[in-house]
Amino acid sequence: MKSEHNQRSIKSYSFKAFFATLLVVSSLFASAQDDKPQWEEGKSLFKSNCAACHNPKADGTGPALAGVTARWEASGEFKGKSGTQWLRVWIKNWNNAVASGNKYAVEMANSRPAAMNVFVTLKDEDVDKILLYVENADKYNKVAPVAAAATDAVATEDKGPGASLYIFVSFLVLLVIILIVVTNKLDTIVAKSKGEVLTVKTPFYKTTNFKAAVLLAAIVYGGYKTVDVVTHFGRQQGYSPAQPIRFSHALHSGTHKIDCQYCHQTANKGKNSNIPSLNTCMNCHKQVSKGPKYGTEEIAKIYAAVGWDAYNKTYEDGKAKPVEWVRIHNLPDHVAFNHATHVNAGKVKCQTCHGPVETMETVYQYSPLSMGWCINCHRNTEVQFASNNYYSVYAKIHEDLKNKKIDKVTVATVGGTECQRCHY
Amino acid sequence: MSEKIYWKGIEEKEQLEGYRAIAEKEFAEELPVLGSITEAITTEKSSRKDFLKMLGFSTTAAVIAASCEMPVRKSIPYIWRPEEIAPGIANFYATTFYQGGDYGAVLVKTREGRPIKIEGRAAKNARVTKGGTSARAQASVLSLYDGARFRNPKKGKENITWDVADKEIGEKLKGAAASGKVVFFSSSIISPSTKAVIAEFGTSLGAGKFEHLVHDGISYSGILDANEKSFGKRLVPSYNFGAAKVIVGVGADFLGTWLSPVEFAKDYSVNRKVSKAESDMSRHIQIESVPTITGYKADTRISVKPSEELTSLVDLYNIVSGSGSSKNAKINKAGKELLEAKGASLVVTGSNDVNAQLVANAINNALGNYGTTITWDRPYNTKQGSDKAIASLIEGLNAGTIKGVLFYESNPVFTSPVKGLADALKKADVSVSFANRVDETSIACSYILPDNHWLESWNDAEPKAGILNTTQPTISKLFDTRQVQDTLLKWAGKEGSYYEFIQKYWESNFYGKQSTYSGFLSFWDNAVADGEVELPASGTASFNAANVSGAVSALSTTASSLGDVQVKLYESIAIGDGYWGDNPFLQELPDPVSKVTWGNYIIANPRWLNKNGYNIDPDFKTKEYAVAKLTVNGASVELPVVGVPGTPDGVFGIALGYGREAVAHPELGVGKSAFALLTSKDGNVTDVAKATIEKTGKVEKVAITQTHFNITLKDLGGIKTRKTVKETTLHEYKKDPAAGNEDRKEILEEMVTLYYEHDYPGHHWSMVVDLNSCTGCGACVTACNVENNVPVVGKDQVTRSREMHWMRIDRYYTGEADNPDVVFQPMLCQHCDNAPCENVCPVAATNHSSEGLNQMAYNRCIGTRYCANNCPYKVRRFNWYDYQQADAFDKKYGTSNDMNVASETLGLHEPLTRMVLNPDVTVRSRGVMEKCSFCVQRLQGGKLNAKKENRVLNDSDIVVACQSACPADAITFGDRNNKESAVTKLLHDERAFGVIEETHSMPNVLYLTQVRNREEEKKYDVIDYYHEKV
Repeated sequence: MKSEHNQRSIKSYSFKAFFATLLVVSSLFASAQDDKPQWEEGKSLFKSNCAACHNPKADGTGPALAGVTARWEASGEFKGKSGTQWLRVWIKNWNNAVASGNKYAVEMANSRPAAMNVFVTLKDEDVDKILLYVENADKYNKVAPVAAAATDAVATEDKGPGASLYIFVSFLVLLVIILIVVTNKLDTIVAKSKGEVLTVKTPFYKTTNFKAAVLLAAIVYGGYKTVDVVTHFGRQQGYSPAQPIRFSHALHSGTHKIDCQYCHQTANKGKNSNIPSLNTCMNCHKQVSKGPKYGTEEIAKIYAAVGWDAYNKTYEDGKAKPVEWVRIHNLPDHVAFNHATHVNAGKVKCQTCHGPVETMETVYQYSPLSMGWCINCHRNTEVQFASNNYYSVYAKIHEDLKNKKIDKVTVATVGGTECQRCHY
Repeated sequence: MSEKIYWKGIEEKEQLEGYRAIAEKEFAEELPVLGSITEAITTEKSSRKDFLKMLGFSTTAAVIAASCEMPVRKSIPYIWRPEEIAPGIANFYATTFYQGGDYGAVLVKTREGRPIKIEGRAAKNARVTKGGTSARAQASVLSLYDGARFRNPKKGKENITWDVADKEIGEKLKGAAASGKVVFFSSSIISPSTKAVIAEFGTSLGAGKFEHLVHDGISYSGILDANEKSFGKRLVPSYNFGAAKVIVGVGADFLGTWLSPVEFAKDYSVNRKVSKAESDMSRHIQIESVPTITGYKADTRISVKPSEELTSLVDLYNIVSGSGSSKNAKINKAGKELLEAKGASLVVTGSNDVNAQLVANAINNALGNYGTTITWDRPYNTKQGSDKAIASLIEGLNAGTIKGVLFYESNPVFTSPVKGLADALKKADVSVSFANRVDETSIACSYILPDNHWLESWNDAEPKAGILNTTQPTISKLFDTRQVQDTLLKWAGKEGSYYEFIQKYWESNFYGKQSTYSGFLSFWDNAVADGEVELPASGTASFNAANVSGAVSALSTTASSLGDVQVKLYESIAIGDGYWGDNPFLQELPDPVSKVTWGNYIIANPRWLNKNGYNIDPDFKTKEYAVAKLTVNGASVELPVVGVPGTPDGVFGIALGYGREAVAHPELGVGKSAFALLTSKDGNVTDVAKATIEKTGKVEKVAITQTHFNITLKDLGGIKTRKTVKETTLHEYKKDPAAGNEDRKEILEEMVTLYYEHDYPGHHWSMVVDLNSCTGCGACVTACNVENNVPVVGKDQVTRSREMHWMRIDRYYTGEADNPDVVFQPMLCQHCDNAPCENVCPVAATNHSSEGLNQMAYNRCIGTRYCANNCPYKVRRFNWYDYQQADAFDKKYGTSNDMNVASETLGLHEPLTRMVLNPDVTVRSRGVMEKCSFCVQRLQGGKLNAKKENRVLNDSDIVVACQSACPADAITFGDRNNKESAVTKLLHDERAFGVIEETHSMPNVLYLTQVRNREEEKKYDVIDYYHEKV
């Protein structure tokens, strides 16, 4: 039939495509395997030494570097060194190249207002590795999307089993009911054919006991469900809204190990941990205009918001427009939560409440932020009782601690579970 | 009766039937909330079906409401975060409050760039107000967010742009100057730079074409004119109440309204604090007619008629100059005491009669007070007005010599005793009002060019000579307004902003007079950061006795012309000259003397009321007041008559400033304007006049809080007299520091309990209120309202005893009703260790903290009100309505409940006005109980600061809102577990006592006995005023 034919053709196409992809990917692996370690090393050297000003493909403070070897080579031999050799001199200490009188070096030195740093500690082989990376910046990056797609697939599959189990169980239940009905019917037919007089039996579902049992079950289940649902009103654990800019904490905090408080500066000072203002972003993104995943797309949104003209490297007056982030962690108005109390005085790690943010591509609400959750933590977490002088006024507790009446001082010990610590 | 009894009003004193009915009940009224629905429920038969229908409907409604999705909330960071602003951390800026003679050195608390609270500046940077604030300064932050502010310039009712305004008015002013004169009409201006700007503007119009007229709504013209005659200076000298051993006030409410009340309360209270180490205090005698808080605070209050206030000055003069004596023995004694304290005494009078002030000057001169308690080195700039200003303006307008008028910080159409200004203004070519909210003068002007609010402005201020203050903006201007000074500079054709002008002015005029800073910028920056700079003082004046004898005889003549029935028109603490009439916080602040909110009334002697048939509610059941018509010189007002103990027979008092007609909301125009009753004598307004009074047959409800929240009910459960306030005399105190408080020892000994005692391992918060210092002024109440988001409920709700104030000031009378002794007692949650409210809450919404706080968890409260019923201090407040629109459900599904409460009609729900709310304090919703929390947000903040700095908590880390606002330093707060804290020391003072301690509630708020500096003890009198037959 037609539809069958169609299905078959789709199947065969997808098989072909799959094999083709596999082939391409494996060929990539095959051809590239030999210089991959050097390339990786070059990449990391580039990131740590050069990326602040340079991008392989785009102009930053320094020029785009792809093709730099060819350009230097084209400048020709000078004082017995090839163009590539002069490039090495330039990279390590450009002053030497200029002092030697190399025309191209002089030209390059005058082409930019900002002077390049010197990297005298770099060895020639390091420079070569950097150049390898610079010239083939995308060489091994292509593998990444495939890997990402694979993890995505795993993630979606994770949600699967629950639903199929339900379907299976309901199917079984349905089967049981059908079988009961069928056997009943058959019994009746058999009885009729035998000519037996049927006694009218009260069906089980009309018995008082059954009704009472069902009612009780409904009340218990309904009650449980009601309480459960009601206590979860307003809770948003797992809430992970789409943000106007696809900012990745995994990249910034995970890969680049930027400290949480570099951006969220007020977490240890005041009530709120601030969402960084755009000038904080621009500290780095003046230079870094391209990300590994979305390229320039997302960073361009920062530029648009802050009014940065990436071409002229200037801020444009009146162009700025604040970013409207979607707030993830919402507490009711009658809860007075103070970040400084926890971060600064309590020395609580950000991750304790916010979870492994450094692995989150998109941030989600890790903790339930329910009162029970707060209270449990307050019962178990110790305060900085010995190290913070503030607590010296708690003479009696110090005494108890000394006499081993208590073995630890938790937040609850100093009154941290009382109403008006958080509600006022 | 041997025991002294205390009463809040005649109704309590006589235990009238209606009073007992209120006092014995928890709430003044039955549940009248829903009106028709209540009726339907209680009268009509409801069937089972109806019940099921209602049940079904309400369940469905609740499900629909509850299943709403969580809203998506946005978090919008700064683009460029200013370095000093961190979300959630308050910033404080030093600036200066000034409005029509009221000056305050203040700090403004801002959160995320919006001002939310006013605090007093530290005393070192507040040489005049010394850290104190007034209720008006506290409430002024609400005016910033007033939705009724003008949002752009106007020509009549039409909105125009600034360009159009500049062009049109510029041309018209030129025209006006060509054909006549332009007048700049203002209240007293204390900003030297502003004065320079006005002068520049005047010069630009041409010589002789400009005049600056100054008029104060509440006139100080008399004292200024008198000083010109006595000293050749039209100024008011510095009064040092702190240096005076004997103070005689003659009708001068110097603790409430007169001249510089915050400063005087600070200085006065220094000498009124007694301790074992420092057991001397000043002696204060007040001679007055209409009662004021100053009179109520005095050691001896001599109750006289307004005319006798004048003659008593003559008597005092005769006594101190040795030329005679008074018929009144008390005045003779006062004169004698003054003579004994020569050079360390002080006589002040609030009269606006030039002769009265001349005689007062002569008395002080005879006593040698000039140079000691009165000095000319730093005269006040806050009062400069002349009562002739309005008359000359009207005259000039009518004659056509004045063609242009500009009104700044002045509302003469309302405050003028003479009519005709509004009509005369029509004759001007151009009339401009710089008011930023609607007032009577602005609607009579052809243009309105709204000025910035003071919190949005740059300015400077020199309240006293050589004390320079800066005003800096604490928020960007909210609307399309422009500061007056910038407007004038523009019209004068000057380049640059007013900010630059101030700097230049300071550089050329003040920088050279100081030596602390080198470099103008460092001088200026420090001045702005500190808010104040002191320049060297100089200036003396010699007394000219030439006018005294004339003044003495003129005063006697005036006094005798006033007749038997006299009226005194006074300034109210809250509303002033009417400028504050549109501030709901101040309208709802109970007057310290009469306890009336929302509107004015005629103050009368209670016995007079009864004798003359004005007491229409003898059993205090209907709570209605007779409306009387009071006429002065043909002008009359009709107002309810309220009896106030201490008012002499035949004397009436009316507060000025009420009855504003041009206000954004009719509720704010409550009362009647009494400015028309002011009369003039020798060009000066006189606040006392001969009057006639008659019945109108009308009745009116007055929102008087006197009988609300009673805690002193007699014969209740066998307790005869509850100990609420205690007092003694200095004489007794010196013999025994526990005088008046002798029974406390016994009470404490009797204390046994079945309950377990609370453990306070860390802090134990406590407060001590010195009754001797408290003047009852109400600054603390307003500060508490602003700090804790306490709602305004409106007149109707107040008449139903539903005011929400967490802090109230109970005013107790004792002694003879015609001239009683008064004790002011600030009453707030006592945070009892054995709190009776805690153990009756069925849901444990109110419970005890390990720091001694009686905590209130709003979200747990289900509104049974058991706690309020069981509270012996009656300090718990129930939200009968969603006064602040805290409930998201209401906001989302329609505008309001079935209510018509003031907070809604006054626009206090508007997003703009809600910007005044303190983000650290929950906004409470309908159906929950609330009360004083000891400013727990400040406690938590103070503790956090100590933790962050890794140190022990100090006394100075925590200053609660009422304590910070108090101009008399009556309130001390701290940790009683800390042996070194100020509060611990006071808690162990012999004067310390708890209110109704015999109930064993163990309050954490203790009071210090009131000590009066006099020997005689007043007799308790037993006259039944209300039922007395004439």
